[in-house]
Amino acid sequence: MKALLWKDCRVNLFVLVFGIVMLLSPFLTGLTRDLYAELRYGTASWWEADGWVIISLVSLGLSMLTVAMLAGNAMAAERTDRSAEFLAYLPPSRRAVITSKIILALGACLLIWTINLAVIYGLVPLMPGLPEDAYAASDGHPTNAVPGLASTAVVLFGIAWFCSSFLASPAISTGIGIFSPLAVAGGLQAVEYFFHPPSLDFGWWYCVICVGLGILGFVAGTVHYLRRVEP
Amino acid sequence: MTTDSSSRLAIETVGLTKRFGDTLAVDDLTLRIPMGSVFGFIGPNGAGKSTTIKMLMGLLGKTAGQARVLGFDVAGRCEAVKDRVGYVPELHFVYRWMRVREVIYFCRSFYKTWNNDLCAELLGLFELDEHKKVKHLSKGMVAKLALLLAIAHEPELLILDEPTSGLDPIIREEFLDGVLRTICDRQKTVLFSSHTLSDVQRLADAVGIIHQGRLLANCPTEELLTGTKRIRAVLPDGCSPDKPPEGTIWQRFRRREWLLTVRGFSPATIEYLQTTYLVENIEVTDLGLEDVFKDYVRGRRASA
Repeated sequence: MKALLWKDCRVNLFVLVFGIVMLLSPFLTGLTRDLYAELRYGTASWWEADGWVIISLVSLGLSMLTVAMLAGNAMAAERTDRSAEFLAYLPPSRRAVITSKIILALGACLLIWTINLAVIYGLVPLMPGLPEDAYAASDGHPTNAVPGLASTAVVLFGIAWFCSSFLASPAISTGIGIFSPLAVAGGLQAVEYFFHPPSLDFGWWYCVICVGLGILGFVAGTVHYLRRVEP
Repeated sequence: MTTDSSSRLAIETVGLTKRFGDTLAVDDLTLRIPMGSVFGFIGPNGAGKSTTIKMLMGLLGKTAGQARVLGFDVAGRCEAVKDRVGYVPELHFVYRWMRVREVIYFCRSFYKTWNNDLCAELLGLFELDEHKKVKHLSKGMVAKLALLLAIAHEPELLILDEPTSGLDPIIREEFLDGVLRTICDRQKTVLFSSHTLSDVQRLADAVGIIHQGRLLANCPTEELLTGTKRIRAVLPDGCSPDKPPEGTIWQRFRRREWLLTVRGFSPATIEYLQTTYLVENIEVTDLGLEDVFKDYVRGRRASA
């Protein structure tokens, strides 16, 4: 398993580096901005809590591409250069191979989310100057975007993973993954337009459909990869 | 479960069939390769050699039939097979970004039987630079690396699928030396598919000829070569050869000259020709494996 994980890290090296850049660049931009303001004007807002929440949300938004790329690359990348054929005649079982891929892809995505959620719900509330009811349900607060972003990430990952289980192109798998939340949103818009349901909670249905499709895609992709004979 | 009879067979296929849409790639192939033998698997391009080998390695699903490798059904116990088999494919898809030592580290971690001394010995023999990346190796060096990876875990069975195609004669010779060392030092079973029939003749103690997915011949190399003869007979004017002798695999008649290749040749074959056709002149010549193979394929094409 150690060797498989090492191999998967190396295969996804570019995506992992890209992911780190996407994860950290909003924070670095915020810090640079504040550092510049401090040095130039002495007016940096270092402890402005809402600013950090927005930076974390931007980081999560930018990391969507990383999530889709990790899932899209998982199985298809090795089919592109046919190194999957080399791996296929080595002894590790399909179960071991996919476990390693799941640990890497899901682990990296969870890490991205854990860091950002830790900032939003762990670090920011400790900062002075945050209103007590900052996280109460109110339409205006930026944290309200978290469920939508999370369900978008789930559908991106699940659909890209599913496509990666049978396609030979990581770009196409990733592309379909990126397109999937747009398709869900478009589908809901179409339902609203054509059928005029009396009370369609767009946001709630979007989250439910995205999470459902994402989980279904992940399970179906994993089962398909385990069952298929060809690499 | 491993039965007594199948445990003595390295490879056993019964009615193995593979269909790609309307194309029948392997047709009802029944093959038995005993342990300790070196089996040469030959056939023209698209005959079904690689497809058969891929099915044996569990890399391709079968349409029908059964395949057992080292007593294990490849459909169910693929990992057990891969653990005990060294495989060198025609095209090498070793991770190109890895260095040679990284490939070795990667593969070594999957085999309990990996022999570090043998690996080091083969690295020296093949003059492989451990620090080079696979993408910087020549085609021949990648082939030698693939052979090293296939041999270093001391497999019970070595499967080579056209491993020397596209290699220059020197690399090919070094590669075959590596294979020969394995066979001689460790008494391994080898399944060897190749278009270079001189290599097959040199290594194999049994040969299978496959054409359009069907096995045309499967017998010891020696028996095939000593028992198959080319006969050149000159027939009297107006005589046409309508009944070739038993075992004829290919024939050609031009003017009065009748060329035949006969499997299972014996003095009775000559006697039959002389008594049936009043042959004026008859010559019998030995054939190499290449000629035998060509005649099998040409004969099959002519009868199709």
